[in-house]
Amino acid sequence: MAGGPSLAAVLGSAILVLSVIGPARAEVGVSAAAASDYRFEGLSLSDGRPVLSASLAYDRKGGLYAGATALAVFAHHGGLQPLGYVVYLGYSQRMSPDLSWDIGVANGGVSQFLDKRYVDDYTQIYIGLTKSNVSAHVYYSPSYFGESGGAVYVEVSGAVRPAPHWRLFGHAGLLADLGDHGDPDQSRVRADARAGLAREFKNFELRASVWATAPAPVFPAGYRQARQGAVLEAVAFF
Amino acid sequence: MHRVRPGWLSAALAVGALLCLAHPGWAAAPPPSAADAGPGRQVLLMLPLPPNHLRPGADYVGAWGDGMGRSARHRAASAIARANGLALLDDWLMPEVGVDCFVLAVPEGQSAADVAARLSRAPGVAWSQPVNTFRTRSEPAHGGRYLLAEPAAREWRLAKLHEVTTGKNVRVAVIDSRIDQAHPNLAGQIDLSENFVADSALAPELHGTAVAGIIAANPVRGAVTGVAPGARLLALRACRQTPSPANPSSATCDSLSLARALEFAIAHHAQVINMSLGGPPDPLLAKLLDIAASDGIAVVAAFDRELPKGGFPASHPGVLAVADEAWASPPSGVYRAPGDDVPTTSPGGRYSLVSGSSFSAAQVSGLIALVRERAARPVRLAVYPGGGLIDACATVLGFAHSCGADQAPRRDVAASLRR
Repeated sequence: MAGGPSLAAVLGSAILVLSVIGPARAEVGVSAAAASDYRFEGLSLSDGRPVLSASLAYDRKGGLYAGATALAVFAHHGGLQPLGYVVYLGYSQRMSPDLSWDIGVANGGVSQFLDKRYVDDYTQIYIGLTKSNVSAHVYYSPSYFGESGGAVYVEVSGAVRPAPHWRLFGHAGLLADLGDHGDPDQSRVRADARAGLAREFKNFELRASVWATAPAPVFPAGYRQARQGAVLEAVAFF
Repeated sequence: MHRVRPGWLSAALAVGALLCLAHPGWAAAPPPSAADAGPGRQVLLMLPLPPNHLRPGADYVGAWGDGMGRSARHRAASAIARANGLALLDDWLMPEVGVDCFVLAVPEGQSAADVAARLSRAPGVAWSQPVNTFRTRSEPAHGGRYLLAEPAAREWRLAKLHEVTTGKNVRVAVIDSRIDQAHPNLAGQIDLSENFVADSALAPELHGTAVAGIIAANPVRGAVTGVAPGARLLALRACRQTPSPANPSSATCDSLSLARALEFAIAHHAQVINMSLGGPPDPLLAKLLDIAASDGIAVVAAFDRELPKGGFPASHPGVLAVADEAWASPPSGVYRAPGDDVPTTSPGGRYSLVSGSSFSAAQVSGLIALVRERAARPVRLAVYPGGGLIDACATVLGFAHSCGADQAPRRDVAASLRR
């Protein structure tokens, strides 16, 4: 997709500019993670393979935020290879001490290390609310891995803390294919859910989660995958 | 098949730039030792939390899951500490207040107030403040008086009020020293117990046990009848006993322990919070008290005649400030309740007489629990004309009611106590 990389360039440049303007008035977070799978809206973008990632998050006083993630995958052949990236730029504001809204644009892509037919990037505009530890967002993708017609994704996420340093988290999402692909038997809507447990350490976190998707992914093309599975993750914060 | 793309290049450049910014202050001098830094030698550094928002590409839900943000603020606080020759002792995320709170030790020779003022001017800091010290407000009981009944039982006609309400299932948070949970009179009255004081003391303490007994002692299991025996207590230890020969029940608390206890009480849906203590004005506690008020929680505090404006939190808007009813002419807005030679629970299954505005405040916390059982409406304390003396019957039953013809005029009772 020609538009995706251009947007990624714009967002990446924006992060560069933001990071140069008064970093003392902003916070810059850095993390690195290893995970047994890289999942995105009910899909595995790493074909169920383990991934490494490095993320940066920039929050500027006043509500502007941005971030970037770079991903690498342990491929079937060829060892560790670049997998993809996510860049985003957004704005958030509090409506009350524990309620805030945010709006933003994200662009992500995965490289074609797999021998599959798919176009490898997406762009999303999103808007949502976060109250305490529950959030709800709506995403619109005019360009969704090369599928015509775009897609809408709606998700709700939440977390509870049953004990100090432990976090139970959950996620439920619904993806609607807005395009007309000429296959009446193919479901235009897909649901996905995920639930897991996180153990927090100082500057470190371990997560284990299970996920399920129904019906099995057939959209976008080239992503026919399993309907349930588990993910293990380790994240370090710097 | 793989190709280099502009998106990859931009992301890589951004990663590199932000990594360079992520480690300020590497060359700063090491911080001083903070092993002996007590509350008087500590300051709180508050870094603002950004509004919660999505982080595309990452599992993120609210402040709890934002490890990157916490890491970033910790790094910023460390840099500020190093630049000012301070030691970073602890940190505490406070999403309710919108800050990440860091505890810093102040070296000898520097004033905590001066350091806090300097830190407050640093870029990116919400505010800084000294860790203030607070003390419970009790006095030695007179003890020589032969007391036939509990003052509130007699003056407030508790038996009649308990025919209507006992404060059943109303959650009252007692922020105080450690309560004797094994005391027969208190057994089964405590829903939750938490310690916010950084010491290893496990013994029950006088002040908290006395306050808990006045509020919610169960008459079926002991000699004392609490004002609200049906209430459920949250026993929140934020003060430690620091006895003196003149006042063996005295206890001391600080900004941090009180703030943690307040946050816990708010998060666990307390309906009444009792703070029988006082100290200097405190911005962090003030913000938490405002949150409590906005959640409809009644906060009751002891009025200290020796502190300006009665001390904090009694002086804070929205807090019910309570003095001993023996004080005939308190400032406007201060309530008066029985607080002289009050029989109550004491550690080790014993009983004692206690005096002071601490215990007047406890009586009012119990009274509010009685009201809250009947209605969740904001509590209005009914008072007799002039002087803030509480009319318990009118408070609980409404202005049109009384507790009967034998209800004694409160001003007469107060006068008799002073003699």
